[in-house]
Amino acid sequence: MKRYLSLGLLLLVGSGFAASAVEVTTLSGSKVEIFSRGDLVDLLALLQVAGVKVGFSAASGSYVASSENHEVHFTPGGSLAVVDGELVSLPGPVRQLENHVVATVETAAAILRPLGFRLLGNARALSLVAAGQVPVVEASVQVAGETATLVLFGLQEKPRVVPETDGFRVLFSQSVQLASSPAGGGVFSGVQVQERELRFFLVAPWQLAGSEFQENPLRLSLRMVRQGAAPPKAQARTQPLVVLDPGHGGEDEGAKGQGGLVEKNLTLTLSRLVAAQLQKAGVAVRLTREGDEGVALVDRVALANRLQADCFVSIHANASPARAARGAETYFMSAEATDAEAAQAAARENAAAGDVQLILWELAHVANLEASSRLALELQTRLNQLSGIRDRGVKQAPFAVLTGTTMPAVLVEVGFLSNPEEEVRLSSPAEQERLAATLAQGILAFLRSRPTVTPTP
Amino acid sequence: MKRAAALALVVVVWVAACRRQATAPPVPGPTPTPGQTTFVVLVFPGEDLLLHRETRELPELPPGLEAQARVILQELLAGPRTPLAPAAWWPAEVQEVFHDGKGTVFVNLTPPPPVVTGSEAELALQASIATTLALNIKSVQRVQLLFAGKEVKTLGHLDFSRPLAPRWDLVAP
Repeated sequence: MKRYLSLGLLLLVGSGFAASAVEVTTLSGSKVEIFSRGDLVDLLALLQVAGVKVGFSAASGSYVASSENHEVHFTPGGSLAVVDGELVSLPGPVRQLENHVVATVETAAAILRPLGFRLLGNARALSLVAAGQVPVVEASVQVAGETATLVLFGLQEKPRVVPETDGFRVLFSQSVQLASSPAGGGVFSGVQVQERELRFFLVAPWQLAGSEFQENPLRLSLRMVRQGAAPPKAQARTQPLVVLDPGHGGEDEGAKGQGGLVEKNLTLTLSRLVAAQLQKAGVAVRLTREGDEGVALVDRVALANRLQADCFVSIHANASPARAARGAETYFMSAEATDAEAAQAAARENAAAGDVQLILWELAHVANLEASSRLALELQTRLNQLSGIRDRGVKQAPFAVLTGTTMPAVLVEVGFLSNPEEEVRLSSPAEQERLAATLAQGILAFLRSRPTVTPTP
Repeated sequence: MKRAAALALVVVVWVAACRRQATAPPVPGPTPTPGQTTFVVLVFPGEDLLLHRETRELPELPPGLEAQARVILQELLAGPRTPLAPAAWWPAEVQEVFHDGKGTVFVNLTPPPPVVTGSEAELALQASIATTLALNIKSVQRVQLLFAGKEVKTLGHLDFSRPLAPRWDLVAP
């Protein structure tokens, strides 16, 4: 500790930065202003406001912030910190700006957290709270036709969402309070606050469709849809159900060919064509997106799981720095992400967290690996039989959109938009029809090979 | 606590050194001589997505796993000398390398442009980096890629939120 030079932190708190200052509500409730620029805030000033001791090591060029039991070392220009001797990755780098050591709110919060403080808000208004202080969550609901959105504000962490048959639970690692029950259009029949969880009960036609965690400020958006009827249960269905996932959508255009063919449009066209073919054969089909909208990967998986689909097929077009790369390939989940050891480890960790549902998801996913490989083979074999398509085989890789699926799940790459010749081929409506028919045949063959379903030929 | 603080200080010094190294202007290396060189094997994706080897003779590698990994990755990211594809689809640079002492290496890269590429390109990136490091440094078992110092869930396709193993199954015979 002798190496550390004590700092005379000349913080211009409370004055002088009208054009570039952020107001911070301190632990006592008083308000001070500290330097800010864009989305960067003065990190040393924040530590000072929190009452944290800060030292500087000239030898290493690093700062050490210490509370009674914890130390955090960080270096301007670096995005790693050492917390109580453990190296951790910060959300972003700490920077030197003029005479200030600055960081984004997210990075500052990551440094303050191990020291026992929570930082709420954004670069326009911040609030420091002690970690032990019970946060108050505010809820607002917006209903628009068949969809409703519940937004939870005032979060200090990313909670976990667990769907239930009659609603959902939002789980936190610490106690929370709810400012008021959400009022909104007959979506919720009630809310329970149970120490570390908020339990939302939905009125019967409403179901949880997905959730998204967002930052600045931290908030959780939960999307509900009003179903015409209860979701089909596997055992009650008279026809198999396939969820098709048109890759990308909305602002995420996916790959783009030199000739202007955009992946998100191609995948939607193909998915619609495949859906039509499957429906003709008596198979129920749901698309993860019906139009050009962005849907989070986790929501695509959640839809398939919620509907208890018989299989999940994500349709994509490829791109590669190797300009001449061409052909089709089909992926299923990487074994390393789903091997027995990983499943057991996940089960142990989840059991410790009390999350039985996650354990079941993990185990179901492992059980579906073999079926996923068969589905991939059915698709790839048929694609290989089409003239002009190079066989790139069935492969395994840790795809985010396949993580967490509880049914046989594959991702098919129908060709390379980065290859001008392939782009021309994929642009052709006739080729799109041919590809769609082939994919539908492969899916039907897979469904027929399963003992529990009887799709119409 | 003193030991932890000492360890922490060492790591922070290292981080600072890395930072200085990252921002320092490129300095031409010494001319290789027979006594001062070493061979490293890099793998680059081909049009068949298999990883193809390129052997390079480099000045003797510096001591320390992270420093060696950094030199090897810089060479990899500089691109192939044969008609293979680059490992990254943007001019990526290594910002930091960290070894957790248990076989996992964290590689912090400059971030790609905010345009989604294909799954093939993402797989090639992960596979060529992890496999190249494991080929040259025996103790490397898994590699996690960070972008601009951040853990990233996905760049559009693959799940980059955890360390991934080398792809021996993709190495061309």
